[in-house]
Amino acid sequence: MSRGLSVCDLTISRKGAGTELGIGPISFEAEAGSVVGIVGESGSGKTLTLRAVMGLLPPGFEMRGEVRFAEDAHPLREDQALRAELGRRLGVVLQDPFSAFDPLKSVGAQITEGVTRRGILPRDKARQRAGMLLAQMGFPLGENIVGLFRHQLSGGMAQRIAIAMAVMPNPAVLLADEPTSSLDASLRIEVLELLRDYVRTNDAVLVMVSHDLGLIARYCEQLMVMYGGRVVERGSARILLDNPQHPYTQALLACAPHLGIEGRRELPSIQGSAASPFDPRPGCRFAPRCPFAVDLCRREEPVLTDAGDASVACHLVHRSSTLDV
Amino acid sequence: MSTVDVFGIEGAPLGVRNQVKGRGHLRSGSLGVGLALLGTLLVFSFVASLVGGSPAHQDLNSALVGPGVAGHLLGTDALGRDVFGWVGGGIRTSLEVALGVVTLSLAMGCTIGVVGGLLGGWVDVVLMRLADIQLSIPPLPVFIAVSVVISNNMSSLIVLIAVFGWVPYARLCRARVLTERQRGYVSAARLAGRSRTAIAFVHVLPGITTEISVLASLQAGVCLLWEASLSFLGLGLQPPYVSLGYLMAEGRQVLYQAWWVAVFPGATLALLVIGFNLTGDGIRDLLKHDTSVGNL
Amino acid sequence: MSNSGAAIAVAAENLTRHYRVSHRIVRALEDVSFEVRSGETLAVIGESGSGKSTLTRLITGLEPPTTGHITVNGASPHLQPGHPASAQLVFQDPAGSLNPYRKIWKSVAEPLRHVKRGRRKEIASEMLARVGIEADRLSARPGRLSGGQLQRVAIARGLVSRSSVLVCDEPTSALDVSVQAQILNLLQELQEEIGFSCIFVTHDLAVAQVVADQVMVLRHGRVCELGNAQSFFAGPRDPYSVALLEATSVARPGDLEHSIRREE
Repeated sequence: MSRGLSVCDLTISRKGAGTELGIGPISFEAEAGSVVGIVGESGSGKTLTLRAVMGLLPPGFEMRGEVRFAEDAHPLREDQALRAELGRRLGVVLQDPFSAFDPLKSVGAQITEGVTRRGILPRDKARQRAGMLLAQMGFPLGENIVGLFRHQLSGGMAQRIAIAMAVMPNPAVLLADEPTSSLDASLRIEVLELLRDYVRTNDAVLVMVSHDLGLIARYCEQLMVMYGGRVVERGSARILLDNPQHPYTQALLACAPHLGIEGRRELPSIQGSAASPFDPRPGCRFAPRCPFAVDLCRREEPVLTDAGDASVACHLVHRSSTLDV
Repeated sequence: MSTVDVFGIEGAPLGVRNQVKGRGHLRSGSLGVGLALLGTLLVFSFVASLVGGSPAHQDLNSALVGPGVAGHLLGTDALGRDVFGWVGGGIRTSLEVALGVVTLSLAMGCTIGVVGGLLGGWVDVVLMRLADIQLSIPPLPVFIAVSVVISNNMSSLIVLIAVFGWVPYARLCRARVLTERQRGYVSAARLAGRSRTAIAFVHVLPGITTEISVLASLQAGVCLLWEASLSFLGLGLQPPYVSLGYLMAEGRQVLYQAWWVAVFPGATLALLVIGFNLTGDGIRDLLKHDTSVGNL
Repeated sequence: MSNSGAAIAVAAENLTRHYRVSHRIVRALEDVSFEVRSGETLAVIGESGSGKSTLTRLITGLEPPTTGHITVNGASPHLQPGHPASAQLVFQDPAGSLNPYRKIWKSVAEPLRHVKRGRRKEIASEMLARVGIEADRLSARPGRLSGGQLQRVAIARGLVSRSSVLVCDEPTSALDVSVQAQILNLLQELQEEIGFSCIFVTHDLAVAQVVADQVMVLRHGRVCELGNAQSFFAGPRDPYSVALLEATSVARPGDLEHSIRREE
């Protein structure tokens, strides 16, 4: 039975906001064994989106839309239903690796606690599995790790153990919110390789939020770029980053410093500051900062539509693609 | 480029989340009730001083008169003193004592805490052991013993109770100094050339005012009870001071014939303490909202 | 653009800093030497535990070295932290570096101890305008500003006392990519205008390449490599530097195409 994930028209809005649009609509499908990346800056809504799929929206927000595990007949629509899947079919890895651990308990106790408490695995099987996972995460035989406490762990160790903890129940979907941004560069690749390996071997889906375009390019099959609460571009990661069509994606790629032949220089930048997903003004969210914006952009919000190999939400891209045809 | 007025969106102005959370909780709840209660009692005491009889005035002809009689709204005691007037005066006395104790222990405690936190080393160790010693001394025997010596003197009583109340302030200030010392803006202030003491007063302490208010409100309630207890035992404040505790002691002797002499001051005392406690709780609730930054 | 004729603003010689923790000795910095000329930027590259933050505290005078010397504009910084000629610091965490209860112009004016009271607000406002903070935000408190704006305020504070040395400790690590670009551009602009020297600590080699004239790689408190930026990025010699370079330059598809396209 396939273990993929599909999200359909997910929107997040403030409670009682009536017709105000919030974040979304967000839709994507991910095959088992694949990695989906969500790229965005502050205020893009990427974190709230991930939280919605986890069923952990903060008070004052509500979600609409469907999240469907491929093996289910019916989609899940309520955040309580999603929250109930945490620790079962949904695994979570957060940015701060230490936040996953209770400082007062040993690490070993915590790894197995999740699955034993929910009756997913009996204690001895849980210990076995924990040992195996820790070994996969690069800890030989896991023995000396089990007795450690949070304050004895380094960042890299903590994140790898947190991942082991997250995959204990063999979740169908792993949700990672900037899993490597608090780690040193050398560890980032290690951690992402671990995540990707898990996903491929266990037919799971990894949805990863990140701002690091290089890592996204290397590890994601699918990519969604978010701005101001909307998905502005979506498609295969490789194609999208090779040939970005949305002005925001282009600008984002341009202003990220990367190693190259040039030395000291001025970076291209996006003037102004990030738009809010809850800004009531009409039109495209990026229009105030877009160098190509025209009147239509300020009046009407563009819809995500197919344009070549990707889906783009931009009037100008639609116009030119329809003209080409 | 509008300020992002949204709760919980990362990248939004950091303080906005707090504002959105805190709004609507300011006026309702414990804080409002507590302050209202204290305010009412204060008003009550002023009314009593205008309308009621002087607490000092004894009139054996109207001894043990029940409440509701003209001129003696709450009755009189065995010596004909007007209970209404006494309760009003008692409220003022209690508040004076509370104010005195809180101010004094606050000043003592904060100074000791800041000095300990800033200087560190053996000074800090000595001061903190001093605090430990103070906490380990049971107040009641000491109060009783010292009260006998100082006899009927409000200032001395205030000092006495304050000596047993400074430690929480000291600990709070010291902890604050220690944590804030590491903060970026404290280093920045040092780079700007500020002296250590200036940094403590300008940067570190202003942040604790809310927590100190919580401590102060709760301490006020406690010290009222101490004063009343001591006065009840005949040790704290006796006439000419007007103490609720004293009247309660009087009332105990005539409890079955004239319940009003003990019950009214007792109820007033309870209300005062409840008022302070609710105020303290209310401020603490405000604090909770202030510092709970949603981490998205 | 290194200026070989310019004066030396910061000079470190065998700089060493040890801490005693319980009964161990932590060797945060060991025998570090370098020179930064006026108007130049030295990028200090290191991962966590490399001693880069300790270095910033030694340069600004917040801590004294255990052995070795450090001079800023000819003077030893620890003897006079807060002296106008000493180095100023921009921290990594924009929110933590500003007192949350004070208006931002007051925080920016704090280093102006030697200026008459009346003039302080004026100078602070000028500096804030220069870093792109509008006049109507002067009396705002840090809670009302975004991360990028807070870093601008921190930079304003760092430069307001006409300090000729600015130490930046991972100033853009907590910021979005587009905001980072703005801040990096701002720093370079201001450096050209004012002419201060900059010591820029970062773990991100790509960012280092954008700002650096000179590069120093730290590892476990020691200098692995020190030299001209161009030659470093063309081909580092130390194996650790090589490894760092490889770890960072996770190849982006179309990287080559991008640079070609921009040249057209």
